[in-house]
Amino acid sequence: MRLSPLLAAAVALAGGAWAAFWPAGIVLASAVAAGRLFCGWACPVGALVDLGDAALGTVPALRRRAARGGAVARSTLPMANAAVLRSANVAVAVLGAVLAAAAVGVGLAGWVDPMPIAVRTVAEVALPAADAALRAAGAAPLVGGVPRRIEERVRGWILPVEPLPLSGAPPVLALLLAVLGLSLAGSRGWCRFVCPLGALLGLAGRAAPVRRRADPALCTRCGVCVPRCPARAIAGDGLTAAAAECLLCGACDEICPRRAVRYLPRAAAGAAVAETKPDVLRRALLFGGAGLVAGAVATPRPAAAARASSRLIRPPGARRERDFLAACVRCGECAKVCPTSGLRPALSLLDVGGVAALWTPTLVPRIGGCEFTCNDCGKVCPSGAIGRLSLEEKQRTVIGRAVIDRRRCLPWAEGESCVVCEEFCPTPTKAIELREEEVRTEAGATRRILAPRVLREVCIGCGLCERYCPVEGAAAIRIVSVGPRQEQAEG
Amino acid sequence: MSIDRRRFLALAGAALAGAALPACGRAPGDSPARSAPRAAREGLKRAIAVARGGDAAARVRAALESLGGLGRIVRRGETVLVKPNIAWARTPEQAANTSPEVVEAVVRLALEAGAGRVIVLDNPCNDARRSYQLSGIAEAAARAGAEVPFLNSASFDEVRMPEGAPFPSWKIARTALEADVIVNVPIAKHHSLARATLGVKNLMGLLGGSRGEWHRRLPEATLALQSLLKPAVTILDAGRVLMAHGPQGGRVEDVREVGAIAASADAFAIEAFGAEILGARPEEVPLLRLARERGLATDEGIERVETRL
Repeated sequence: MRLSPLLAAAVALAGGAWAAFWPAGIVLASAVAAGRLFCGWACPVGALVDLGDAALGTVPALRRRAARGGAVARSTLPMANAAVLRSANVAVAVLGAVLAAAAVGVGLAGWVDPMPIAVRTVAEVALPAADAALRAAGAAPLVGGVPRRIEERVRGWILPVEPLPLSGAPPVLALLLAVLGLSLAGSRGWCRFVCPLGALLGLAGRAAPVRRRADPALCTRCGVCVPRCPARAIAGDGLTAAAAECLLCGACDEICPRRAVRYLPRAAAGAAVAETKPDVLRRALLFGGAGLVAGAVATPRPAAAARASSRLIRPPGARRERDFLAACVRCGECAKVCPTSGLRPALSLLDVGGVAALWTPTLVPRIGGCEFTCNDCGKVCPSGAIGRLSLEEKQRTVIGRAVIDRRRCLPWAEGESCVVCEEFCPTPTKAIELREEEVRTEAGATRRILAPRVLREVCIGCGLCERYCPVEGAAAIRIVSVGPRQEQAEG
Repeated sequence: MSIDRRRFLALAGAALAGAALPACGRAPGDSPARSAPRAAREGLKRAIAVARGGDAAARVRAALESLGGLGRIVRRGETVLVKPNIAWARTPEQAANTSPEVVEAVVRLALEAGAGRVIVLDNPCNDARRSYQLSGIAEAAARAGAEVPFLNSASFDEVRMPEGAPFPSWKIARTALEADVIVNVPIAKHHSLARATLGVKNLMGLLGGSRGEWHRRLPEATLALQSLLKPAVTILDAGRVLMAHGPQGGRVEDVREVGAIAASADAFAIEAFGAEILGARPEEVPLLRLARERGLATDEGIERVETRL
């Protein structure tokens, strides 16, 4: 996560803890020195797109289209191909929009940056799917023994003991399929047309000293390399390539019959360099500027999101809501690390009260409470939207308040024994008090029974009570929001 | 495509075989292990052994020796389930789980008595990884030579509960059903509903499903579980005792150093002893009251053998 210069820039603009993103400096430096090397070799989404391209390449209809030269038009100009320059315009506009959004206080970078896309795919799709598949295979008759043995090894180590929720999978999978589907418009479609990090690295690397060149003494201008380039970065005759597009993948090198491809400046002395610099800059100013304006205007404002629902519960250590929405890059790391899987990316507008807050983390106690001896979410948050708290601080931080629904709570409504909420309350002096009460049941009878009450000054809203309340459906004790700022409990 | 009789019969046979596959799974109560209540294992002296003083490991040894030693109930090569309390993500000083030293001592004694395998596990209330680790039990038990697995949703079998139980069946950990000997190693604690949680309540750690339901009929349900699983011996950790805000606790101020271990094949003798430690009269503990009504526990109790180290 901290490798992405785009996230670093977004966090810096939003006033978050950008210093933690120092690894992004290495990636940016690699771009300045060697263009989109990261895109070609390190980016996990790039790798997935490559795999997707290979898969799409097996589809006969698509192969025929590629053979007909559908994607690129040969140009006779020695300059970089004009079509290539146009293809990255949307990406640059997206870059501008995302940076503008960060500047006005909404961290949307995480929706479109490849690092969060990769992390979310693993956390919300791959791991829960593997979890579910393992469990289903374990229930199979006759052959279930092998998956069950694997499960025993893996639970508590790679997979948690409790099953992972699949609720976040549909939107993440849809986004991933959309990203891979862009390759229908051309190979490495996402990387070339939309990825804002790619646009940023391309911009930084437009004059990179390490770039793809062809030794003019060897190159015969045969052009065999041109259609092979997944980034369509090579100019029509094969001699020059646009550094802002080239992924340094080496496909051209592999196919060149004269072994003419060179990367280092000294190795290709005298080689013509594609004059992309003014073009790339002009594109950046034009489309990037358009993106900035669109982003500044169209970004849903934090103010709207702040009128949040009563069920919006931020993790302990979260900044106050306005700053949180700015600094949170919606990367999904906190949700991935939460041991109870209670911290979930907000998928419903009903939970968060605004489009701007979609995909920010919120506690869903019915899925999992906030584990008392854990402060991991603050440790992994790359931008400091969730601040680091010591365990003692976290255990006093109020993230919500428990409220008992006496019409459904077993002792209050039915005169039945139950103390599960009090049992699970982790605060040392207990935020739930049991008192013998005379209750009038729903049926009209009177009973004396131990019934719970919430002590408001002690409750920190961790939600363990809600998680384990044995009432069917919605729990009889629920956590409600305490407003835009977290306080400290008295208990 | 025409179909002849031979092909039709082959297809029909394959379809029927495929449809029959799901039926090869397990039905409730069909566990390969015991679905009927386990037989009690005799061999230990009919007494409750109480050891005080010294360190926890020494107390455990002394108490079990007073009863004749684990060798009386463990046959060579058998699988022993040592069931401590690992319910909460709490440290040993907070006395919410069994002390790791006590668990370690029991594991060593079981292996010395000739056990082929010793398994230590629980189904914690908090996050299982944290509970196993913070309690110190996973490390101590593994060091002594036990297997310390986690339980997951596939670890349980639906088992018929005994006659008169509040629930007709419930999911029980397969390890408990298949083990030859169950050694129950609870810690003495205050409990907000049950007043005291000792050996019988500790068996709830072998349950799957939505255990919260049990609180509606806690004494009846836990008694039924005890009669189903019949641990061969109950070893009560009364070294550090959680006197208030149980069963989870959290404040060291609620913990009292009592420095005792009690062991007996009679689980209800342990319940009576534990109630005494927690300052509760027998009639204040619903489980003990019910056990006496049903004739499972007597007022006078059994012989007590005290050892001071």
